[in-house]
Amino acid sequence: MSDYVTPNGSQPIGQPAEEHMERIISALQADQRPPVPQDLAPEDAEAAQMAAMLRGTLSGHAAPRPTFARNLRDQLERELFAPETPAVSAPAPLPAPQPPRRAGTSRRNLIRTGLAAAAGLAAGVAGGVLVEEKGNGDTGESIALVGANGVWLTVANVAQIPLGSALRFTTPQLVGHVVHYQDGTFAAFSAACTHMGCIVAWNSTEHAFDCPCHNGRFDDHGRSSGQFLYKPLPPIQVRVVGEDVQVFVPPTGTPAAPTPSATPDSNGGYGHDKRGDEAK
Amino acid sequence: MSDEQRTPPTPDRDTFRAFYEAHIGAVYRFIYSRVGNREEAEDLTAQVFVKALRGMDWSRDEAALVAWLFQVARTTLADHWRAQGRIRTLSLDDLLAEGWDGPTASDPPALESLTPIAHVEAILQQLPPNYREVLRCRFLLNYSIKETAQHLNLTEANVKVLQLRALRRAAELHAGAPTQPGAEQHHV
Repeated sequence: MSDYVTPNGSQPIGQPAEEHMERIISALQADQRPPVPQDLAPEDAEAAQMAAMLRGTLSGHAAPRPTFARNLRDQLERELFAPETPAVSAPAPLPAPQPPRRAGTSRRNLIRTGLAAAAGLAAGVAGGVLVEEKGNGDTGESIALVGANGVWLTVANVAQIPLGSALRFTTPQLVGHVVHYQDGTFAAFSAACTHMGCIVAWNSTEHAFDCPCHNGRFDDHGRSSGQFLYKPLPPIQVRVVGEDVQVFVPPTGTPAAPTPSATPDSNGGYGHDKRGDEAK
Repeated sequence: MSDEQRTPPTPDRDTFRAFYEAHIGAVYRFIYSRVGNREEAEDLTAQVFVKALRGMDWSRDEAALVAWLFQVARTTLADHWRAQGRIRTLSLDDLLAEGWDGPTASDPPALESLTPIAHVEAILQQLPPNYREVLRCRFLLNYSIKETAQHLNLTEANVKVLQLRALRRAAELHAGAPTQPGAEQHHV
């Protein structure tokens, strides 16, 4: 037994490191994202990276799942080949009926200004919305959702949004949240996660938006605050007129009354996999 | 990068689809071989394509597009490790980088040749037998901690100690492995 456990003398090995590593290995064996302890020593971080590589090379589990490959392809194609003019369609989250596709200059602008942001929009926006050429990927600046020709829509009553909380709203073009800060001011953000476009949900305990798909988290100012850094949630202009909370959204040919809703029903299932599904 | 003047041409659907279908598997395998689990591999693979398409110049030949794709994959992985506080770059990354930075021929490099299996095997061979065996149990045979303990006739606590030391040692070998900066690259 002591043959196996040779003290190497360099440093004492604490119990936590061993337990951390075991949890990491177990997760890898289950094909799951390993936990990342914040206090992992550098040499153990490298040991964990080694574990990932051993698992990755020796397990033979290297082919993408067909559903994953197909979903990703479909998502990318939607972004690349979306119609040039903003399409107005039902407020139904997804999947929206797709008008004939053709590529055009505005589409190129969209790609240039940030396909990642477009990915974020995909789930929240039925059809397509022109992204104002403003955002700049390398500053992490978010991208304005609406051009000059948007319209103000009332989405809530001030009293509906207690201080320190957020309310989800749905307009024909997008899903968003209005946040009511402790100082009484308001802000609004698109609810489409800037990672893959899943709809984030308000976490009232953490005062943050959580993405159900890949553990993304954004603080109440829309800034990425989770384990993974994503672009900020695109802000939406908001104002208070009397008791009405209004947001500035793209114009629509058929202005349907926006319906504030708290139902988590529109997590479109775009481009992300439902991991649970396939675990038999 | 942020060349405001040039507008990259948009590919037609068939071009995009052919490119995607040709390379999704290789990108995924590349990522998987480094992160070792499906959840992160899917997450990062999606990021790679989204990011790569943003800067893709479709007027370039396929070798250049593939080089770009894998450059994005490599930086995405680097960002991934950095976000987890694992900052030291590993020499295998550098080795792989060399392969992708300069695809000179018009045909894309053979992706399979970059699979670091040979590298991993070499590291395993340099380990003391007990270290090698515990890693084989956990990563090749996929034994649980309990099965590993039975197989090696150790307690589970001992296995935890042993596997941690084995991984630390393997990481050291990995970090100090074949290609040092400045040395001639000799691809295996």
